[in-house]
Amino acid sequence: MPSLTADEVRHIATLARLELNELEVERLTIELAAILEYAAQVQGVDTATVRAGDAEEPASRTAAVPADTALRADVLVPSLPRNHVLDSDTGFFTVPRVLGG
Amino acid sequence: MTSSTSARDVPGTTACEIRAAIAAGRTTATQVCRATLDAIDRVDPRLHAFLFVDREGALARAAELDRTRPVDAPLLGVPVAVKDNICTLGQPTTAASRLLETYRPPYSATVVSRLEAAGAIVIGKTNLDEFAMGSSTEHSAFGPTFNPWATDRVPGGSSGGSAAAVAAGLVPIALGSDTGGSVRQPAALCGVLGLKPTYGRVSRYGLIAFASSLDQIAPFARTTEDAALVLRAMTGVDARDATTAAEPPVDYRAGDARLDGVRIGVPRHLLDGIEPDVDARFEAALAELTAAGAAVKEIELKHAPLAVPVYYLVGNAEASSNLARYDGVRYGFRAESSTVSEMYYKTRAAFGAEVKRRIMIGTYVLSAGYCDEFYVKAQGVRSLIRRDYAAAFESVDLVATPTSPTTAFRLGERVGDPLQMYLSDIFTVPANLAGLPAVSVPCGEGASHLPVGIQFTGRAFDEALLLRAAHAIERRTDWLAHRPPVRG
Repeated sequence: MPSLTADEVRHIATLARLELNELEVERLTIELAAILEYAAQVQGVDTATVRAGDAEEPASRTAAVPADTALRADVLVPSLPRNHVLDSDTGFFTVPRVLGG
Repeated sequence: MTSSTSARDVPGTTACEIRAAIAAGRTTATQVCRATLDAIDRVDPRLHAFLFVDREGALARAAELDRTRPVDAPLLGVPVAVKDNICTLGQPTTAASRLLETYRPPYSATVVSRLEAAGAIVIGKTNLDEFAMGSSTEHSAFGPTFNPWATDRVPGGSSGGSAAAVAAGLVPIALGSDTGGSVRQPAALCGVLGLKPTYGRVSRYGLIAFASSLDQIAPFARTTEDAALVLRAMTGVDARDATTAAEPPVDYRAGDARLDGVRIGVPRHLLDGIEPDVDARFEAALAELTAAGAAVKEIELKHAPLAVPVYYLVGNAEASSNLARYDGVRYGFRAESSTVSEMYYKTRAAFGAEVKRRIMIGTYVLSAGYCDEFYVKAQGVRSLIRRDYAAAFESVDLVATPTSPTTAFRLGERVGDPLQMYLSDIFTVPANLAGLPAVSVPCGEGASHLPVGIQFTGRAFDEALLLRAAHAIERRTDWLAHRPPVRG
């Protein structure tokens, strides 16, 4: 059963680049503990019959279904039109100034 | 639609009727478009289904269609609404997030291009839970959507705006996205049809990613015929989405609504705790399926009770990774800061509470020390859930459950209890985890005259059988005669 401390919540927030105020830390410590406790019921399930690499398993963990990797012909096709992508006034990508600001 | 089409005639008509009337010259795309815009102006202040209405763009497109008259276009002049997490060139695409409030994508999603190529007019963008994370549309940064059947109730979510727009008759067809039930659950709560296609059936190019192994773009419609029409227009292989599958198109023609020889499995062990009203409508629908010739039998999906915990582990792990891209550098909002690190934190502070909660869960379950016991374990259980379906489909052709354990709940009722909100996805998440197609179709009304939906889940790429079953329910109930009090 995962119990969660406020320091762990702050650590996770740092990994996720989320800035939390003390109220959010307090609330998330409680909410995350409850959600993770609920989710922990998967830990009791016997998954020994599931092996990566089986024909009936997806090739990667990020795929929903077993399927071969799709390949396409390596041919040139038009990219996005310039007027959809570049600044209409300058004809360039516009980014925030980084020098002399 | 009559020959003298007035603004009042268009709302509530089907896509098939609109296309036929324009092709026969009984009305024009411009008349339909104006009537649709008028209906949205009249009704949407009470629903807040739309985040953006493209008045000028839609009318320009309608005028172009009236000039060129592509009379064979399957969606000729049909107004469609698009969930605001699907990219549309020239229109904002916000995902209902402050982070993307000013974002305008430089391209349209493949589905949008395909519907436009079929003659459809994108009339506007619809409200959703921020980044599609929620079951009520209350987590939109721009305020909730209200259910046309009772405006003190939620429309469901996350595609609540699209569901409400179709239910109110503002548009005949709308697109949503379904990661754990985000099309089927609002379809049920708003009394319309919502069909999540098989994983790989529809290109996700241009869909703002939430959980990539689960996401599918999915249509809402009021009739089975319209759902089949839009599905045919939006499916197929796309070189820009490597997960799209080379399968024959959905082969469905409206038949006589008989289901002779079709075997339907009901996992009764999952039905504990559903509202009595929902249960009564579901049992009545099963009796209608039997009367239509189907054989209904009980089945077991042993690991399905674990679908919600598996979904919230796998889905949030993927979400925490997908949402890492909103760092102030690449898209939309950027907080001014003196250091790069501070910019990341200040920019990401614009995420709403539910999005932060899910990023936190996802980051936790992928972090060192917890990945094996949570994420890897959940993926193993996901495989067992998929195998349960494969075994069930050896003896049945469809699996039937209610779509949602409850009818539409009140605004504010669950928003303070995330776990309770997650549990409303119990019947819908298994299809996403297994990559299977599933449809929710209205099967009557429960207490307070709120709609109830029945869900059918089928074999991969067998959307045609889902549509047949939906058509049987549609024909054997008088649901299409029911109209919500708030409508166009």
